[in-house]
Amino acid sequence: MNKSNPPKLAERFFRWICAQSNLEGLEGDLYELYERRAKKQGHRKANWYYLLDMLTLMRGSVVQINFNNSKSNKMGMILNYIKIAFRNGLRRKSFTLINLFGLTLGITAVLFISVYLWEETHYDRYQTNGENKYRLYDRLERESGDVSLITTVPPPIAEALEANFSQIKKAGRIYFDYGGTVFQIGDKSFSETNGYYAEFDALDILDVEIIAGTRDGLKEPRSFILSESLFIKFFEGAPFNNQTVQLGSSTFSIVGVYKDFPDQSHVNPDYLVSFELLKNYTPEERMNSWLWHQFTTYVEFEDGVNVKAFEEEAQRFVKERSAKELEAHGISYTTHFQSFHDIHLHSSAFEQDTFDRSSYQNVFFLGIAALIILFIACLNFVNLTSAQAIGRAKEVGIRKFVGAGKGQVFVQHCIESLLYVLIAGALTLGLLFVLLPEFNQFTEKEFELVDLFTPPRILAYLGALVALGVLAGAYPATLLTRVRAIDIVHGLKIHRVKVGKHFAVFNPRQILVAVQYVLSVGLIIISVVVYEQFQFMREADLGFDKENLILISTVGSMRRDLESTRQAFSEYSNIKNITFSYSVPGGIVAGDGIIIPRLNNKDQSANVFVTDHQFLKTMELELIAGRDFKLQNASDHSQAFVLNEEAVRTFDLGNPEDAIGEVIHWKHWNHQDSLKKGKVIGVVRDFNVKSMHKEVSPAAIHLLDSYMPNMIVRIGNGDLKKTIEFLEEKYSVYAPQRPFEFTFLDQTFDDFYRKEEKMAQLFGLFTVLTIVTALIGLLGLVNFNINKRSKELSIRKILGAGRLNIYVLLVKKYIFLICISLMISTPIAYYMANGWLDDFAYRITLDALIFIKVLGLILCLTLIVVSWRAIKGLQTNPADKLRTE
Amino acid sequence: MKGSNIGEFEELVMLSVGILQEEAYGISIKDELEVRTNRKPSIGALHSALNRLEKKGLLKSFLEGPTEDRRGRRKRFYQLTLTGKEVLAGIYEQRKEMIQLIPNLIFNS
Repeated sequence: MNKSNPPKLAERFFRWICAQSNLEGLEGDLYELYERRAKKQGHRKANWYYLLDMLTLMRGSVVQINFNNSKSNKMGMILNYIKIAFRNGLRRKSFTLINLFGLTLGITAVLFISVYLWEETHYDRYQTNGENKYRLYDRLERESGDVSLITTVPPPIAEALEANFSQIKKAGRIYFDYGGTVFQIGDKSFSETNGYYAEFDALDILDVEIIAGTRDGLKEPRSFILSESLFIKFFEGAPFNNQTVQLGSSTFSIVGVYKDFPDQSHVNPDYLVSFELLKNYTPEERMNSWLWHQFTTYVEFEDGVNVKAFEEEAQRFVKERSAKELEAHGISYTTHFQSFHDIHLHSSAFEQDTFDRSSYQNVFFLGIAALIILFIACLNFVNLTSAQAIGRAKEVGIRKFVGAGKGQVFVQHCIESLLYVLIAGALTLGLLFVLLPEFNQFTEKEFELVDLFTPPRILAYLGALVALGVLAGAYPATLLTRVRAIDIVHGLKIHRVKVGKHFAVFNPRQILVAVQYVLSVGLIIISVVVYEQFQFMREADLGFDKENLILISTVGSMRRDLESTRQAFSEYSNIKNITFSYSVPGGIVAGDGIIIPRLNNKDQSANVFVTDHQFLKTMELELIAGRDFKLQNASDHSQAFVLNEEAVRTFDLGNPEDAIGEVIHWKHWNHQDSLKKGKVIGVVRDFNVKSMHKEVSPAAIHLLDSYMPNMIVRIGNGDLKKTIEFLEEKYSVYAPQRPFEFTFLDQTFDDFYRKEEKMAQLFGLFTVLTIVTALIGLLGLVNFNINKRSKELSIRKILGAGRLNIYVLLVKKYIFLICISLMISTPIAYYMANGWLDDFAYRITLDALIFIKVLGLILCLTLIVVSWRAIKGLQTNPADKLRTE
Repeated sequence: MKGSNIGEFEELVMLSVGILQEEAYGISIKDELEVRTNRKPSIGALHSALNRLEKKGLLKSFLEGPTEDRRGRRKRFYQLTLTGKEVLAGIYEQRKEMIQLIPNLIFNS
C-alpha cells in the first residue's frame, strides 16, 4: 500500500513548538487520526484535518510551549535579547530617541512617497483589454522647423483607419467642450467646464458604464449623459427620469447617467454630449479636414497586433490621404499611437492636453528622493549603532566567554535593530494617521486609510521593515562579533577593545557621515535652485503687467454691441480699460499664422490675437515703433496689423521702424480663401503669452468683427472688493441667470508654474527632512565622541588647556569632514541643477552666490549642533569625571 | 486548587476514562465521547481537558504500547487516581441527593 504522509513542514513545526514531555503522546494521536482518515477519506482531506487538529492543539495548556525545552532554548534566548535590547534602549535615552526619530522620519517619507508612486504608476489600468487600447497623437512639423506634439488629431483619421485596416477593432473620437456649458435646471443654473462630445465607440473604449437610462438616446443631437455625481448635484438625489435641462433658449434632454470614472483615469468628464450635435453645427468640410487638430482619438486593436509595425503603415496611409491639403499650409505631420498605460506619465511633452497628467520625471525624482531619505536614515542608524557598539563590547565579551558563538552575537544585534525598525514602523503608522489629510491636500488626491491597508500592502510593509532592520543591523552586528572574549577577561579598558579602527582619520563611520553630507548638500543646492527659478519665473517681466487684469467670459447679450458694453462696464472709477478679445495671453492662442507676401506665400507660424482697439492699452503693451489702433480709423479695422519684436526678427523685417508698412495677409477662419490684406502699423515690445518654459514666439495683433468670448478688464489699485461687486452687478444685467465667474490673469500664469511650485515645495520638504536627519546623526556622533573622550578632556583641562583650545580640538574634525563632502557634492549638484534648468527658455544663471549661501547655511547649522554639545561638555567639572577612578 | 470543582466536559472525560479502564488514551476517549454523548470534541479540547485533570491530580498517565499506525509513537494512557474516583463518586452522591429533593420527578421507567 502506498503510504501517504502528513505535511512535513507542519510535523516539524509541531515538534519544534511542542514541549518534549507531551510530544510523543500527542504526535501519536495525530498520526492515528491521520491514518484513519486517510483510509476513509483520502489523504488530501486527511492532510487538511491533520492541520486542523494541530491547530486545535495550539493552546498553552496542551503543547505547553516550553522555553526550557531540553533540545534548545532559542525562544528563551530571543526573549532575553529583546529584554536586553529594551534595557539598553532605556539606559541610553537620548541615543534611542535620536535613532527612533531618524528612522521614523525616513520610513514615513518613504511610505508616503511609495503610496503616491503606486497611485501614479497605475493609471488607466481599469479598462478591459487595456493593453490593446491606444490614444493617437500627431507630431506636427512646420516649414519653419517648428515641431510640436499634439494629442488632438484631425477628425477623419478615426473613421478612415477603422474602415481600411482590419487590425483595428474600434476607433472613437471625443471633442472637448471648449468654454463649458451652463445648465439651467428650474431656477438654478450650473456652469460646468469638464465635458466632451463623445462617439459611441469612444464610450466603449473608455468603458463608460451606463447605470440609468440608455446611451442610445445620444443619437438625438440635443442630449446629454451625465456622470453620477453631476446628476446628483443637479437633481439633488431625485431618481433618473429622463429629465430635461435648459441651455439658453433650447431644451436638452438627459438620456442617461454613467458611473463616475475611476480617479485613476486620464480622462474624467462630468458630462458627455451627443456627437451628433457637434456634427450638426460643424461644417461638413471641417469634419473632413485633415488639418484640424481638435479630436482626441482612441483606438482599440485586435489581439496580437504589433502596434509599432502598424504605426508605420498608418503613417503612410494618413500621409497619402492628407498630402493635398497639407501642402498648401506648409505643415506636415506623422501619426503615432500611445498606449493607455503611458498616457498619465508620458504626456508632458504634449500641447493642448486637457487630461490628468503627471510627468515621468517627477515620479522618478520622487522615487530617488525617497530612497535618499531612507538611505540617510539607515546610515544614521548604522552610524549611531556602531558608534555605541563600543559600549556594548563588555556585554558581548561576557556572552562569548560563557559560550556564545559569532552567529548568536550577530543574531542578537540584528534582532535589536529589527526591534528599533519595528517600533519606528509603528510610530510611522501614527504619523500616517495624523498627516494623511495634509498629504491628500498636497497631492490633490484622496487616499483613505482603508485603501492604504489592503492585506498585500500590509505584508509588503512588514516585509520591507524586516528587510530594513536586518540590513541596517548587519554592519554593527558584524563589528560586534569581532570582539574577543579574551580581551574582556584580561580586564582591558573597554575603549581599547578593537571594534573597527576608531582612531583613524577615515574610519567607516566618518565616511558614512561624509556620504550623508554629500547627499544633503546636493539636495539643498538643487532645491535652492528650483526655488529661485520658480521665483524668477513668477516675477519675470512678461512684457505686460499681468497684475490687476481680470478675465470674464462674455455672454451673447454683451457681444451684441461691444462699445456700449464697454461703456457700461467702464462706469466705475477703478476700472481703467476694457478690451474684448478672441484669445487671451496665458490661454490657448490661435496659432493660425500669417502670410508675408514679400517672403513667400506660405503660412508663417505666429500667435494671432484677434481683438479690438483697446487691447494694447489694456494689456499695457509698450509700443516701440509706429502707433496703436484707433477706433475712428476705419482702415485700422480692416487692414492693420501690430507685430511684436520677435515677429520682426523672425521674419527678417529689419528695424522695428522699417517693419512699419510691411504687407501682411491673414486667412479668414471661416472661408479660408478670402484673405485679409493689411499693413503693419506698429511694433510692440515682446510679451510672453505662454509660460517661461517657452521662448517668446512671433505674434500679430489685429482687429476683426468677430465672436469675442473674452473681456479683459484692467483695474486700478482701488478697492478690489467693490470693483468686483460692481462688475458682478453689471454682469447680472446682461446675464441675469448665469453665475458670475472671473479669473485674475496672474493666476492663469501662476498655474503654468504649478508643477514647479509643487517641485519647489517638495524639494524644500525633502531638504529639511534630510538636513534634520543628517544633523540628528551628527549630534548622536558628537555626543558619543565627547562621552568617550570625557576623561581625556578632563585631564587636558586640569593640565591647563583653555576652553577655546578644547573647543577647537572637538570641532575641527567635523569641519574638516564637512569641507570634504562639500567639495564632492558641489560639482555634482551644479551639474544636475544645470540639467534641470536647461528645460527652460528663460532661466536663472547659476552663480557662485547660490553655492556660497548654501555652504554657509550648512556650516552654520553644523557648528550650532556641534558647539551646542561641545559647550555642554566643556562646562563639566573635570573633578567629577576623574574622581571615579 | 480544590479538586472537586470540575466542569461538565471534564466530568464526561473522566467518566469515559473510567469506562475504558485499561484502554483509555486520546483517540479511544474521543471515540467513546462521540458514541456516548453524541458530541465531537476536537482533540485539542480533549487534550486540554486531560492535561487540566492531570494537573488537578484526578488523572494519572503513562506512555506504553507503540503501534504501526502511530508510526512507533507510544500511547499516553490515562487512569483515574484515587482522588479522581472519589470526586466522581462525590458528584454522583450530590446529584442523587439533589434529584431526590425534587418532588414528583417522574423517571421514565
